[in-house]
Amino acid sequence: MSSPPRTRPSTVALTAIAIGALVLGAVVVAIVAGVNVIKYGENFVTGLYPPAAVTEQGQAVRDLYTIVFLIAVAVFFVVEGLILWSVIRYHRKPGDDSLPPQTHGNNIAEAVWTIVPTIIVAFLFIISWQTLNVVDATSAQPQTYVRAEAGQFQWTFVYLNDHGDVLYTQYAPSGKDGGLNVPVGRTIQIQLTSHDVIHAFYVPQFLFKRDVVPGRTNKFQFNVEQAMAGQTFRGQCAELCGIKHYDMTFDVHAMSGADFDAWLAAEIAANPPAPSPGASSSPAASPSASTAP
Amino acid sequence: MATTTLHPVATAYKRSTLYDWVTTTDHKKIGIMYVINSFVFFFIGGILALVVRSELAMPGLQFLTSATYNEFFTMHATFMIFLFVIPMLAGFGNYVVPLQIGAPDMAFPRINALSLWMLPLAGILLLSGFVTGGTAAAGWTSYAPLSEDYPLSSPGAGQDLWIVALILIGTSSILGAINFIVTIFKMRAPGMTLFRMPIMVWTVLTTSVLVLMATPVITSALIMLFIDRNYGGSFFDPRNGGDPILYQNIFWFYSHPAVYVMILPAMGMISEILPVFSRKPLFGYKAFVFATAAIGALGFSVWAHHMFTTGAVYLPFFSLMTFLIAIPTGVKMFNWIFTMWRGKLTFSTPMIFAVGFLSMFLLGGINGAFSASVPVDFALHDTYFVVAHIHYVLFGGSVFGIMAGFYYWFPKMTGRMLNETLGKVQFVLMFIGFNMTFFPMHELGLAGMPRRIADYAATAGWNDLNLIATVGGFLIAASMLPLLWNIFVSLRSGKPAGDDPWEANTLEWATSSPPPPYNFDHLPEIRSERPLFDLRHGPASDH
Amino acid sequence: MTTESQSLTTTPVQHDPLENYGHDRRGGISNPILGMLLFITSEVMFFAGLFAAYFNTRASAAIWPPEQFAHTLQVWPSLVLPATILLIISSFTCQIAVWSIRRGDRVRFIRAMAITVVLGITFLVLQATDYWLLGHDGLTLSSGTFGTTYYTLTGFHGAHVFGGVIMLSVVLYRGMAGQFSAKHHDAVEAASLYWHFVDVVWILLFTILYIIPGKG
Repeated sequence: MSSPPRTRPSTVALTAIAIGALVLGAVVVAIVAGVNVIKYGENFVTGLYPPAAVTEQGQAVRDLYTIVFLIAVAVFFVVEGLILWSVIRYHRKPGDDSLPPQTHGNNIAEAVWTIVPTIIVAFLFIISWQTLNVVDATSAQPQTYVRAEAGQFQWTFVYLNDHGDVLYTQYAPSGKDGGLNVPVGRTIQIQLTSHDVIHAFYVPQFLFKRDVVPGRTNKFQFNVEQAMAGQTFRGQCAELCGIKHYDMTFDVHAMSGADFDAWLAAEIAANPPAPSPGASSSPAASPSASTAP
Repeated sequence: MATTTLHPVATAYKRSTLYDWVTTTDHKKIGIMYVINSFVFFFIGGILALVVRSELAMPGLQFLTSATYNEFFTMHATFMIFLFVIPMLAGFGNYVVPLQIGAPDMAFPRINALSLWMLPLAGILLLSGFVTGGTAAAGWTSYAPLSEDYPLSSPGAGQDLWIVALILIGTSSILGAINFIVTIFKMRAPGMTLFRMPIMVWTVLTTSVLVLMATPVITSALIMLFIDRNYGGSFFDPRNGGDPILYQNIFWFYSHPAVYVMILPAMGMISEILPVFSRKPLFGYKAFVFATAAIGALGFSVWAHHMFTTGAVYLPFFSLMTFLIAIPTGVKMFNWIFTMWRGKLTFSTPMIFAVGFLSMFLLGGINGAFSASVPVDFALHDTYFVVAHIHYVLFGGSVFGIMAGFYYWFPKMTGRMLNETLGKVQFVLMFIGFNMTFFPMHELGLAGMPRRIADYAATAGWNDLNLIATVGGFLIAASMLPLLWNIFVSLRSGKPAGDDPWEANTLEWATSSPPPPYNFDHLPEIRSERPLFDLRHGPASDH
Repeated sequence: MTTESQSLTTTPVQHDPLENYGHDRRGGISNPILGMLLFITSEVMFFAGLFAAYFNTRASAAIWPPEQFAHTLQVWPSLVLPATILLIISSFTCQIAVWSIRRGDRVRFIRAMAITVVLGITFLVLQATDYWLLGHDGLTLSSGTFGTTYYTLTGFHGAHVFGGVIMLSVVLYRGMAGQFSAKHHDAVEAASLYWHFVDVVWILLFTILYIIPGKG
């Protein structure tokens, strides 16, 4: 069915042009007013990315995220494009009361948009599973063990040796003299225990969190990248745990291996360890918590 | 004013007294009261959200204590889910389904009335917490042990009131589901086979099956929590050998299908509106039905994707099933788009909201795929990214769908047309406000802002986006003003609608607006899913 | 072909919209009975949640039942076995009542239904007595996970028996008032379906709680 020749642009096209002009005008005004439009544009795109990863596992997640993100953007543009195209192109001309072709469906089309998404999600599932195996991998011999104890509303970090004996307990969850100190380049195992309700150990720059469930000890491992020595990362409880949930933050301080060993040895010398609940009650023999890399 | 040869002999008789409305068993009046009740709680939930957003606009606790803040976001979600979206869709179903299948009422009209009146009662129970020492404050998910008895939770009966209210609402839903299933299976007009039912009826049927099977499970979880809190029980209390993860499993076994309860009828409404305003049939009707059934079935197999970070879940299975659900959802999206394709589209307000639905729900589906990938979910779970996802599907999806359905069926319910200009103003304000509020939340979550926090550090870098989100929230609130004004003005002096103002396809348009109490005097031949279209154009035209 | 919007030019067929209202002339299951079956489905899911809690709790316990309560689960001598037998018999008498009214035999229907109600009440009395004895033994809702799950499961079953007894009593009363006939007795069918459901749940519960051996 041929459509009658257009004598003037439709209202939809006019509206689209008007909106485009407005947006363009706003951008021009912003540039003239001194707003750094390019920086905002860049920030917008990077804002749709998680922070740069500081652990090996986090880097694997970020690489996975890139693939998921690109597929998401592609799907969005294709489907949204179809929507916008339909809305603009198939707008009814005023005065046209005839019926369009009454297409009921098309089995081939149904097959295509069933099979293609199936392939896409199968691909996403497989690469996610592969990355999960990296993130959740547990090596038989971690080099540093820490028990992160969560309670309403504070974190306590208990450094253990490989037998589970307590070496040193850090009661201050953040600050220069507090927080979780970790050596770079080594495999660190965190054990999570809760005194009361469910909390969650979350460090955005690890691209990782794990729940802390009372009655259960979750464990996970990570390796901080060598180049991160000397940096501090924010951590925060990520499971609603009561009225000061918003304030249950902690710091993670990355140190070189040598600095970490020295620090731990000094703390153990200054504070002979007392057994804390959940640890074995045998007194710690020697402060040989970590083997040097 | 246009009438048809199907216009009934006797239209609604004038007996609309308060007593009539309170005691009615007429599905149309009950449906309207469901809608009104749901709007009231939409506004209450919305005000709670505005308060939450106002507190979060800038770092620092400005005017709420964190205890009150926790109550407010808990009740915001509770009202929105259980007293707005779910009953609003049930209300539209109540009004529309018997009309669309050519039935005079629902199968059990008195139980229908009972289902309705349980809702304001539950709402009052929930609200009473605000004036009796505090409402529930453990999130709408109320995870144990935080929701267990004091001192793990706050003192006071707020959580108990919440449990009782939800059990009431669940019972109302289950009774409604029984009503819908029996009505749809047993009371269709002659000629209306299952595959000639409107898609709206199919989605309500599927939703009802989900409600029937899933809601009792959360009832059991709520009862167990109540026993833990009040009778020294130990279901979920780790101090006595109980298991908090058990609560999560039972809770999500319902609450995941619940999200399909919250979206499927809205999808049904969109599936009615797009064909009418494209002047072509729905593309791929049968594929639609199968996709709806697939979503319903698959919806029972994904619940633990809410629990990926607990360390207590078999991750690959739930991740796979979650990815799979994207497929029937995508089928629907394409079928909707190709309904419009090569059609002749008119953009009355229902159609504008329907197209808005398509775009916004698309984003909600896409950002859901991020969470389906387990390692990505480890980064994004319990952050504002999830808040963005939730609201893109529930607001961008369900609310836009509800608005489309409201503008579409308001003429049938009241006999008056809503004003188109005010409708478009509402859409523009709501669309801009909605995206302004929730798009930044993707970035906030990716940057590391957790959910359910009353305050955040000024140095975290989250200030600007939170402020933008709050401004957007107030824009959404502003968009309610043209809606309310539109309703007020149109009820009094809106253009008379006539039987079939939209030139639509389904049976509800084959009677007066509003319909007489018994719905129909005559029914047309039913030989396809568009009986009115067939009547208008004759069965031989091009299908 | 004219497409003038608002006038439907073909004559509508005169179907009476009310022709299937009340009783679906196409036959098949009646509305109230379908409604009851759906309701029973929802009740099955409710018990499924409770059973899931039971199985999960039992699986994570080292010893089940705890030693000090092991004796509470003995099948005999106890009140539980006779209560079980009576409940099973009541399902038979209930079904006899249904068969009777299907034949139009009101006398046998009333007799069988009355016996069913009495058996149901007896079950409740035995259950209540058992609770009293257990309470004296020290088993309460707050006796750890065992006490909590035991009382919750059996208690909600008992509540459903109570509801069933009410339903059957109403049916008995209406039957005595002559409201049922061979052709019209939907309420009897529906109530009997519910009663059988209650019985099946008890058989499952009895087996899972009492018969299946403990661990540890």
